[in-house]
Amino acid sequence: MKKIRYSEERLRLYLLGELPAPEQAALETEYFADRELYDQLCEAEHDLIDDFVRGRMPAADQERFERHYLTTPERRQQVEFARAMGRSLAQTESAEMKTQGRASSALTDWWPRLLAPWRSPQPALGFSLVLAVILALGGAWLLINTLRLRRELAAVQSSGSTLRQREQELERQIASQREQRDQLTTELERVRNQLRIAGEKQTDPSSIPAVVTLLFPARPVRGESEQKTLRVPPTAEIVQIQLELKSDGLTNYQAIVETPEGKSIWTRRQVRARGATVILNIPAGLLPTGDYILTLSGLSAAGEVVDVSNSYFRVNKR
Amino acid sequence: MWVLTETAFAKFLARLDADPECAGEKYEELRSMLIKFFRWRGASSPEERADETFNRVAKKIDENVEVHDLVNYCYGVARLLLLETFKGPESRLEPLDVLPQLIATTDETAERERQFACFEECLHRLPPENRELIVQYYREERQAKIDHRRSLAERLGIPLNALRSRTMRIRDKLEECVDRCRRKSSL
Repeated sequence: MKKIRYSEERLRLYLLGELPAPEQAALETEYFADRELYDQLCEAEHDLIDDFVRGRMPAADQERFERHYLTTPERRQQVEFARAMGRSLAQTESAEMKTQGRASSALTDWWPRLLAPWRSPQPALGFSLVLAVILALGGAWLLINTLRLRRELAAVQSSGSTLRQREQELERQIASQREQRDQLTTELERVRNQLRIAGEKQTDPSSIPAVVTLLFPARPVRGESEQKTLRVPPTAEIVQIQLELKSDGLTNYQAIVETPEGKSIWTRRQVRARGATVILNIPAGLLPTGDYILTLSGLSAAGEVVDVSNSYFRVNKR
Repeated sequence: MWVLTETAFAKFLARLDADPECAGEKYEELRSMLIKFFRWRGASSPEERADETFNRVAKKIDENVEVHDLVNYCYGVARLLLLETFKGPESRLEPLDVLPQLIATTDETAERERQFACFEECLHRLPPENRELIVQYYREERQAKIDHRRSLAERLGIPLNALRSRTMRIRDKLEECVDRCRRKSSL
């Protein structure tokens, strides 16, 4: 299997729950099989948390982090651990710098002894020499300061460049999603037209759109459910889901397909069972690769809404 | 309700590796991965969910269901468990800003100090070379961080991914130590 390289930026998007579902599933499949990628992801998480606790994140990223990451006690505990570690390492660095500082102050004690021979019979000469030393020190200080400012400028420019790149990437993603939405709308319209035409014509095998079928046998509402995987070829136009029902005395049904995150993909009301089976025809274009939950509820004779089943399925478009 | 028996667990371990010691190591590695998977996907109680994943997979193996790629199968079961989690009442994760605003209480400050003290204690318990490695590895920031880690790997004569793997294990051990210390000191 070809290894996909993931940038730190993509891994951070995954950790913040912002990666598109298909890419998220692909990354997970890969890191379960590739230890190196798993380690890389663990390190990206550590670096993300460390950046947050040490105040190295831009304000907008901080907000995203707080909103998406600090949502469970385990993650909050990880942040507290990183905070303790950051504090400890900062103290260690500070102690090291103090040690270096003591070494350099021993150096500055040399100066009085070094200047002593020059304080003497010829004050003008001594004064010139001292002035020369002061000018040299001043020049060195200016040079160091200039280099430091240049480094900071480079860092700021780099940060600005990173923000611009991020903005461009987001704009590309928005454009891509708009295009995808338009394509799906067109696809849906085309399929509706074809269904309408197919309904008007005599049965003719060549006019039946390509259909992929998934069957869920009858089972109780509560209990262990198994996820089914449905391979949908690119030429498929309809995904037909058949749900076998237990005799439940219900009349009309309502079906909702949504993502695990709760986003509604497709809804049908007033669905009637054909015998002991409910048949749902969903445009294949509405179901890109990913995980889905199909919720079926029914209307009893007394007018009450009754949960019938939750069915889990995965679409794999190859 | 099916209960994990010793026999079923032994069968599960045997599928990981024929050698019991290697099987144990692989089990721990896979368990860590599953815990991280659940945590990264925002599920609460990731350790319980990882154990539930193993229970379900062990049940299938005990029932002689054919499983070709055990690690991938565990991932599939974990994903299904996650879907069930997201449909449950605990699926609504609360971001920090909708929780009641907490003023930094004395308890919170004391908890942070306890955490810090535990960290220092655990850090000093590490073997000197591991302690030094952790201190060096987490220095610097941005590009300097990447360059620094590369030069550290070169100095140690190991590839960068091996260095990463090693420091992560040390960090994981530190986290476990701090967690135990924190729980002990809060009793």
